[in-house]
Amino acid sequence: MEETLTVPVMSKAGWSAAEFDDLVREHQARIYRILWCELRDDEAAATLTQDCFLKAYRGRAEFRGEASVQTWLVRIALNLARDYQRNRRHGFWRRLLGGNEKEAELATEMAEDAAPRADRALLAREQLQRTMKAVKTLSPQQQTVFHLRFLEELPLEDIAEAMGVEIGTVKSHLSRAVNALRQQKDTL
Amino acid sequence: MKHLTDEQLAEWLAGESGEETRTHLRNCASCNAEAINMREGVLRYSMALRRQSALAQSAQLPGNFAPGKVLVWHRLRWVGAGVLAILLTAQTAWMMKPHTVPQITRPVANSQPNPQPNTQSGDQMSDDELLEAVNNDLSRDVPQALAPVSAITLARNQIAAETSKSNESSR
Repeated sequence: MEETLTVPVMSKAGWSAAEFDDLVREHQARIYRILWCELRDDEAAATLTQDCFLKAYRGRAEFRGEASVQTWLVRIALNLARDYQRNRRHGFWRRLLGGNEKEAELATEMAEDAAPRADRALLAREQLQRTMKAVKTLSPQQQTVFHLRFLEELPLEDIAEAMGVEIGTVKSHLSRAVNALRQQKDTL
Repeated sequence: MKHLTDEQLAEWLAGESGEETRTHLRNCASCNAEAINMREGVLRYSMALRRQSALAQSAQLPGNFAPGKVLVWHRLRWVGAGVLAILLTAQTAWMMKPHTVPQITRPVANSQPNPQPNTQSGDQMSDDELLEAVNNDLSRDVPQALAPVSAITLARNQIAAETSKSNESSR
């Protein structure tokens, strides 16, 4: 699902407030999704989405257009998520108390939605759980690459730009993800 | 036959596979099944996350979020907080400031002023006289609050004598 980019014409001083509001409307869902995948926390994702656009709005005059707007916003969002995770004091307890339940709920709900028939639902559920388990074994950076590529369908170059890494690193993260998926398949 | 490596499969999943990989997938049923199964799993996972994130987003994020307005409100809040802080500081400073003790006031010479001054009687004070009287009043020694009791008593008696004298003269 590729979102169309209608980047407003940028004046020397950056976007006007109204133009920027359009930009927010266009990218809000994607940025929220990225943050939600990074944090798995509804409220934090919403707060950081707003922070992301506020930060972008404040720094709009400095945007030179070397990368696409989307990449620029994704980079801000990823930095915010990283800072948030670094500062989150009770992250361990949160994950321990509620994280796994949420994952399991998600797997059940989504598998049933995706495949209404009982046999297909079971199959879909297994497949989804396998993928989830595989993704969970990845490092945070590998997970980010996985999500940006397969969920957001960003080109590898944009992922590298947004994450501030080499394209080779992005490729190796993806192959590590495939390896994890293969291992999960072998264990089941 | 050599099967696909993780890298080749990852490239194929990312839509960036080479001709060699595509040819292998056409010829190798095992790799083909694995690749398709993996793509299905990844797709299912993506759909699941997208849907869940959309649900969470609709519950959490306001639809009309405008950074410009938010920033204005943000600044206004800071300005308000600054003004409040200044007011509080000023009030605290005023409360901390040492206040002067009020001086003893003497009773007014004529407590019942004439509402309609008699301009025809001829005993109206001239401006110079009035000014002199005020000057005398102001320059008179008034005992301080911490003055000895004897000084206060003397001053009180003096004031009482002056008052009675002025009352008599007004009659």
